[in-house]
Amino acid sequence: MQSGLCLLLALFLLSQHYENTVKDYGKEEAGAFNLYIDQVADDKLEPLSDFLLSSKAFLIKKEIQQKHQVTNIKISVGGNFNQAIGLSFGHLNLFEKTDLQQLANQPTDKIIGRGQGTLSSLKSIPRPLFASNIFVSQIPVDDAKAILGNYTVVGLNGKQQAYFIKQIAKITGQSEARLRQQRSGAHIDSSSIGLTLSIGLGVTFIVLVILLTIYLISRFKEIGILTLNGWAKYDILKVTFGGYIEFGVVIVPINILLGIFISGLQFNGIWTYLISGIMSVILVLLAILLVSTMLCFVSDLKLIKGFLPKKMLYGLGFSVYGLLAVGLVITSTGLEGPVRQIKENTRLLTAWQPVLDYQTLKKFEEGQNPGTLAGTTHAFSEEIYKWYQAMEGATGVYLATGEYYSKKQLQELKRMDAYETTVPAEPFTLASFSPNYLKDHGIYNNQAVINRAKAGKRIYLIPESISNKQLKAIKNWLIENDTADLEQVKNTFARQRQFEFIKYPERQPIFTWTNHADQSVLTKSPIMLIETSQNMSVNDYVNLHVNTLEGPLKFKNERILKMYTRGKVLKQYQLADNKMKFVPVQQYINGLRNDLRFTIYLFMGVIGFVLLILALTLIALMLIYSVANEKIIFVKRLMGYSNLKIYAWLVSLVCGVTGLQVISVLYLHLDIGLKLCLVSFVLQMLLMVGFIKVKGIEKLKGK
Amino acid sequence: MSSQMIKKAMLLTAMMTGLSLGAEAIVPVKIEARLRQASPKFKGYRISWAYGRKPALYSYSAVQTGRFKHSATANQTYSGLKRKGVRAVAQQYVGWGRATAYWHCQ
Repeated sequence: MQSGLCLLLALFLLSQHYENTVKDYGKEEAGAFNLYIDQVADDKLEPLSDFLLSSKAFLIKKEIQQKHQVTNIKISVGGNFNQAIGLSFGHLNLFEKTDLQQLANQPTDKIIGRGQGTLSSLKSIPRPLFASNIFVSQIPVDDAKAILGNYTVVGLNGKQQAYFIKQIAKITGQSEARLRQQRSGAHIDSSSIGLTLSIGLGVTFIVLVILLTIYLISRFKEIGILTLNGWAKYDILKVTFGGYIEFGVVIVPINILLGIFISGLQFNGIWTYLISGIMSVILVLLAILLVSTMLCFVSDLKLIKGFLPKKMLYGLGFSVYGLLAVGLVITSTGLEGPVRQIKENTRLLTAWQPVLDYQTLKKFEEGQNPGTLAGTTHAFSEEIYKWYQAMEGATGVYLATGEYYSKKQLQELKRMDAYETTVPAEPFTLASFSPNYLKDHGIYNNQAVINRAKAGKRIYLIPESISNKQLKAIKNWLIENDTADLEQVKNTFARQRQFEFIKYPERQPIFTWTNHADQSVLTKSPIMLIETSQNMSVNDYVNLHVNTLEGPLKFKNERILKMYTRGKVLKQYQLADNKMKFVPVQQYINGLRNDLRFTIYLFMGVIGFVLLILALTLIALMLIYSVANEKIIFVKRLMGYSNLKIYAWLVSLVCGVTGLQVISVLYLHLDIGLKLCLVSFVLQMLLMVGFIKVKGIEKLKGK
Repeated sequence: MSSQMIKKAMLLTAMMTGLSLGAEAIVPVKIEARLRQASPKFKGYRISWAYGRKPALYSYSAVQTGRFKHSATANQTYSGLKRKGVRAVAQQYVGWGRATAYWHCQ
C-alpha cells in the first residue's frame, strides 16, 4: 500500500512538472515576449488576423478549455512556421518543429494530440497520469475572431519586435502599453491530488509504525527469551524485522513494473519508478528504525521477566488519542463554512419567496467563444446583448438585479481610496430594473421618463427622502462609475453619456433582489436604474451572462423562458453553442443547498469516523491500564478507593484534552466545533463510566 | 498474558487498518480552506486574488482591487464585472474535479 502511494505521488509530481513545462512553452526562447490582445473592434479583426498570421513571428496561444468536468489545455499556433519551436519534457519530445510544420499544411481541423470528439489527430502527445490533456491546433485563418487572446511571440529579433508591436498597435488602435499588459490570469488546481497522496502516505507511515510496534510487542516473550540467552539487541531486531525489509526491497521491481504499466517508459525512463521504489524502502526502514529505538528503551530485565511494556503502549495510545483529538478540531473547521452557507441559503429562500419561480441563468459554456471565461473576448456578451435587444420589453422578459452597499462596504471603498469623488456616507440599495419590470410590479410607470431611458439616457430613480448631501455624493459616484471604459459598449449612452436623476415618492416596499445579511431585500427607498439596452454601461453590458443569483436577466416563468430560448432563436444569435441553462430561482438555491448538504454529510462522516476511533483508542488505553495494573487496582479497591480515584488519571486526561480542544475551537470561532467537543466529551465520559462499572462487576464476580 | 495480548493486538490492528483506509478516502475533504493568495500586477498595481478549493469540494475565486473594475471566475461561474473596491467572488461546486480560477481586470 505504501509503495503504491509512493508511486502515485511520484507520478503526480511528474505530472505537475509536465504541466509547468507546458505552461512555459515558448517563454524560454531568446527574444520571446508576451502580447495580450483583446477588445478589438470587429472591423479591425480581419486586418489584425491577416497581419499576425503572415508575419515573421511564430505565435503561441495557450487556453484552458473546460467541458463536462474535463480540463484540457489547448495550444494554438500560427504565423511563421519556419520559426516554430517544439516542446520537450526532459529527454522526451512532446512535439517537434517538423510536426508543427506538418500541421500547418493540413486543414485547420487537424490537431496534434487528443482533442474532443471529431477532431482528427496527426500524432499523439505523450502525457503522464494526472496531467491535463494537451493538444495543439492551428489558429484558423478564416475566423478572425479567433485571433484574440494572450500570446507568447517567438522568432523576432529586437528591431523586428519593435516594428511588430507598433504595427499591431496601429491596426487595433490600442496603445503598445495596453498590448503588453496582462489583464487576466488563471490557475488550474491539482493540489488536492498531491495533498491527498502526501497525507495518505503520512497516514500509512504512521500505521506502519503502529503495526510494527504491535508486532514487536507481540514478540516480547520470544525477545525476552533471546535476551536471556545473551542475544544482543541488534541481532534480535535483525531477526524480527528482517522479513519486512526483504519484502520492501522485493516490492521495488514490482513497483517499477506497475509504473510502466500505468504510465509507460517515455518520461525519464525507469528513473521515476526506481526513485519512488527507493523512497518507499527508505520509509519502511525509517519506520523500523523508529520502532527499534523504542525497544532500546526497554531494559533487558523487563524483557526477560516478560513484563508488558507499559511505556510503549501508553506512548502509542496517547499519541493516537492526541492526533485524533486534533483531527476533530481540524475537521470541524471544515464544517463551519458549509453550515453557515446553508443557514444563509435557508434565509434566502424565505426572503426571496416572491420570486422563486423566476428563471435565472445557472450555466453556460464557452462553446464557439473560447476566451470568455478568461476574459480575453467579449464575443459572448455581444451575442447575448443582441439576443436581449430583440426580446427587450416583451412580457415577462426582465432585467432585475440589486446590490446593497453597507456602511462597512462604503468605509472599505473610502479606505481603498478607490474613487475621485466622495464616496456616499449613508448605506443604500442600488437596483437595476428594465422598464417593463417597473411597470408590471407597480413600481414606476411614468411613460415619458421611460421613453427617455429607452432612447439612451441613463436615468436613476432616487427616493424623495434622500438628503442633499447623500444625493450629491451618489450622483457623482454613479457618474464616475458609469462613464468608465465605455469604448467597449456600442449604444446611445456610450456616445452621449447623458444622465438624469429623478425623485420618486416612497410608497410600498420594493423587492430589490439583494442578498445581504444586514439588510432586508424589501426596502422602500432603493436607488433604481431604469435599465435599457440603449443606456447600459460597461458593467451592465458584460454582466448579462452572470450566472450567480445576481445575474440581471430574468424570465417571469418557464413558459416565457421557453419562448425565447427555442433552438431556432438561439441559433439566430449564435447562442446555440453556449448551451445556456436557466432554472427557477428556487431550484437554483436548492441546488446550492444540496451541494452544501453533500459536503456536510461528508464531513459528518469523517467526524463520526474520528469519534469512533477516538472511543476505541480510549477503550484500548483503559484496557492497557487495567491489565497492566491488575494487582494495584485490586488492592486499591480493597482499600476502599473510589472508582474515580483509581481512574483519576484517565478522567483528567479526557478533561484536559477536551479542555484544549474547547480552547482552540473558541479561538477559531467554531460553533460547530464547540458542539462537537461536547458530544465527544459526553461520549468519552459515558464510555469510561461504562467501562469502569463493567470492570467493577467483573472484579466482584471474582474474574 | 498471550491471549490477552493477541486480542489487544488484533483490536489495535483492526482499528489502525480501518483508520488508514478511512483516512485515505476522506482525507482530501479534511484539508479544505486551502486558499492561496496571489497578487498579480495590473498596470503596475497589485491585485488581490484568493483562489483554491473552499470548502473542499468547491472551486473558489475572489478578486479585489480599489483601482480597477475587476471580475472573478471559478470554473464556469462568473461573478460579473464589479465596481472598484467591491469584492468579486465566484464559487462553484466541483466535487473531486479540478478547480480552475480566473482573475480579470480592466
